[in-house]
Amino acid sequence: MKTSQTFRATPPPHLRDGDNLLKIYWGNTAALLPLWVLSVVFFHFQALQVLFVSLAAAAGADYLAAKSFKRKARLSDGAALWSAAVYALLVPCNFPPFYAALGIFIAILIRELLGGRGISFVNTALIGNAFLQMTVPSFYRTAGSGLFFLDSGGLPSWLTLLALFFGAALILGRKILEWEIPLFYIVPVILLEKIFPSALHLSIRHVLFAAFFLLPEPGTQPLTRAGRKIAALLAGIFAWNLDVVSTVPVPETFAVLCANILTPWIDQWVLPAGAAKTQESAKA
Amino acid sequence: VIRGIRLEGKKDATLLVWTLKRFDPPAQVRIPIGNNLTSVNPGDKVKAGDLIAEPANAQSVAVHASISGTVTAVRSSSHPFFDSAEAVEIESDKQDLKCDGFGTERAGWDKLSSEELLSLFQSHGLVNLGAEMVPVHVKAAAQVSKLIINACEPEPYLTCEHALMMSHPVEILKGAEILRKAMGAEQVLIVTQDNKTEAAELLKSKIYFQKWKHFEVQIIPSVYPAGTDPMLRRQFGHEPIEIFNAATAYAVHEAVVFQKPLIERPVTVGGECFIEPKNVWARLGTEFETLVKYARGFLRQPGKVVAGGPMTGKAQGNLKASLVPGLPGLLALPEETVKEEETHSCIRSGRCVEVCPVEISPVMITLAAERGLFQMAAEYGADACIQCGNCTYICPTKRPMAEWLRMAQRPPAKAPRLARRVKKKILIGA
Repeated sequence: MKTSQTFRATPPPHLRDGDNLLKIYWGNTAALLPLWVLSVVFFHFQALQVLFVSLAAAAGADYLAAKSFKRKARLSDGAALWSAAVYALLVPCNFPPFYAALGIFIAILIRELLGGRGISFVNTALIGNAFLQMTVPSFYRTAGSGLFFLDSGGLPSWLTLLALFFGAALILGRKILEWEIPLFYIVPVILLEKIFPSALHLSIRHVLFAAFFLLPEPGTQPLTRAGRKIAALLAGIFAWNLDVVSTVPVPETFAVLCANILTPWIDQWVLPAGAAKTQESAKA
Repeated sequence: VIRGIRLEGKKDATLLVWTLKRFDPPAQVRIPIGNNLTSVNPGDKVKAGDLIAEPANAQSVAVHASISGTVTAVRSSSHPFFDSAEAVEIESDKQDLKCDGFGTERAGWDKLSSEELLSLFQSHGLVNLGAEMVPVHVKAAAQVSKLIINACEPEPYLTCEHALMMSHPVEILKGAEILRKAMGAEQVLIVTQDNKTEAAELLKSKIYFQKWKHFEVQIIPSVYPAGTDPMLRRQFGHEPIEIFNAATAYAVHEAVVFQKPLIERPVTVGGECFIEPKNVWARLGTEFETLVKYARGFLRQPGKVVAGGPMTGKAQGNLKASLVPGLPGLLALPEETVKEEETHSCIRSGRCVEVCPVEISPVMITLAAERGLFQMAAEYGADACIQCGNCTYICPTKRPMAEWLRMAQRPPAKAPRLARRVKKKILIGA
């Protein structure tokens, strides 16, 4: 081969990690597959309807946001569809399709208003869910209409737990989920529930889902490992507290939302050691 | 705990044989002379080891011809690190004659005083064989109690010092002892990584036979960038230390004992694109094109040709530059290894914070620098960055973090365009 040729000269480093944004979002979405398969098996058409309506609304909102903010539509990176897939799992299957679509549509628009994917510090799927819980809470009160609204104890609920752990194992192996996060969230919830039991008891499936799929959402977590632990711990305490004092249908989701809102503050308090030292010496 | 990344070593291909292969001297060399004034003119005949440039000041070193032949020009030519540099061009006479005394043992070398050694380092053109190429006599003038020999080679692909340790362990140890004497240090610590334990064991056994109680070998984990000079300095905190490469210690031994000026160095010609990647002894000033021929040419089209390691080395636009002392390798990396993916906006995954060895916040620094907020970038520790490249490596959105960090360290007078555009917007945390 000739050696008198030119090559690409770009700055170092010349090696890159194999993981990328697409793998993160599509990988996360794949980890939800077992749950979705179960949902379709148990709730047939209703589950599919909620899923497709949510996916379509998310895609539409993303496209609309791209048009109005004059940027390239980026549906292919999977962020909007991942949010929709998470969102739809938490929506009861007997939900009117219009409301199901509205929730995620508004959530994606709010995400864009808060700076878009990555900069928005609240979980998109949870904004949609919180919106529905506050506007049409009655649908959440009918039991048995969704994987996460079944009575515990039966086969479907056991299979749901299994699917949750299977999905968590998938993202644990891919550095998306750190093992401390579920620990720091679940342990305070269980301890507080044992010491100060509430009338309504948190659902273990909701708690696990929040620990595995809602807390580690990219962009909504503090930047440092210590910060992420603090956020998980706070979310756990909020979950118990909301369960005791509030009447929201699914307090676990609101708890994660509250922890998300504290993320920028946690990032201000908990700095990496080197950055903290710089700020200290600047103050002195 | 050392923060960093366990990079795939990719060192096996060049370590199939421990030896460093020596080829016939190249037909032509171009030796950069830096700020020095050349003492030769076109047409002059020189032998290998002859002086071609006197040191310009106390902080620079002499430069020597690396082959024997005729000086054809003194002109500005391609340099692996800079756009161009003044260099002396020598065409070989294919006889490979050496200067007087080259290779013969210096009488009474073990009785030289510290001052004599320092001036010997300068006159023999010895620089530390790392990217900064600091003259050895400048570094050795420091009064320290501990001398560190860096035998880590933390970057992937590079193995020339590993091969040197396996083939010339005693020379490296003796070179380190000469450096220690010159500096008046008490202790010598050879630091290497756990991917070269056999080299460490070899050194340990040689130290045992020399009965040198003041020598010690330390093995650190092969987590990049542990083992780079800034990280070693960090590891030893406020202890007064001075760091030299293992290849430098070898060059010191050859210069002091065998009167050989610095005219060659071990080089890894590696990467998946070469037909026969290997470690070679290459004369300084050898064109990259000749180095490629040492590895029998390209097996396939390289995506990038990198002078130095893949994490900090400089990608070359062509093969016109020539070998300088601070260059441990020439790598030809395939497209699939160096492909550049589409960049996205940051998703605050926090991975860069996790792998940053100096524990600053690369994400906040780069987000601030992007928006022209250089004051804020400094608050998050931009000045502590050692440019190891870990953040760019790990970033899932493929943002050019290292470039923004470089910019944050030396803010431009005029903020970049993106910065001017978005400055008015509110930045979270600003």
